[in-house]
Amino acid sequence: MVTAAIHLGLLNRNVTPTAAELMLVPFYDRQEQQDHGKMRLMGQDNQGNDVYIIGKRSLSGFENLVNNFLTISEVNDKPLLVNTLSGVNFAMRIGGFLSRRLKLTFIGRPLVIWGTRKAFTNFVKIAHKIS
Amino acid sequence: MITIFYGKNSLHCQVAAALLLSSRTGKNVREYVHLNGLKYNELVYGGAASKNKVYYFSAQQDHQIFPNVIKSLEEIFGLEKCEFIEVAGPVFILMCSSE
Repeated sequence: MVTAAIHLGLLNRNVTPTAAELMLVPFYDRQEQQDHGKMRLMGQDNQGNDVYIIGKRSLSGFENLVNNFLTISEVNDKPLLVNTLSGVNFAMRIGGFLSRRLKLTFIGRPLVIWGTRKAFTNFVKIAHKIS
Repeated sequence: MITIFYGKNSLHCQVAAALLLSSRTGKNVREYVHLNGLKYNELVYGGAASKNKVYYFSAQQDHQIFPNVIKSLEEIFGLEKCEFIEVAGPVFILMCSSE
């Protein structure tokens, strides 16, 4: 969602966001376990494309699955799928696990935010490739 | 209408799909079971019974989120709703014995 926020202009790609700015990003550190697999609308980019986010956990072949299902359903206009997992660091993983899975928000959230700020340039690079 | 069996084990999903198809078409279950259909992380076409197309999907990790993914795509693209049947061990055994 950080990459989507950068792409949508919700976060300035030239400045590492503060904790408060990150907390204003829709769904940031708020996705529950039952939300995984659901595509959530983040907004519309400057070219009029709807931008969605999805947490796929460890489901492999996600891109194939989406394209396969849309082919079966005779949808020609396939979405652009952007995998942002390569930008995620260890602190974000551990922080997210503590915060959302174990509900230890007081330890997990600062760790997720710290990790996100450290990895911010990774997400900027991914967002840059999209545009 | 599309029916999708999903679960952790590809063989279980394929057999569950085959049992459903066999019960609806009257054909032998073996006609719907193929070794080359035992794939993971792919939506595999099992067959059709009248207008009902049957698929199966297996993933060794996090197959539980599969219906959420498909339901999201249905909503975004305004597609007809699929029927999902999770294939777990006990369900597989029950289906076999009932056939």
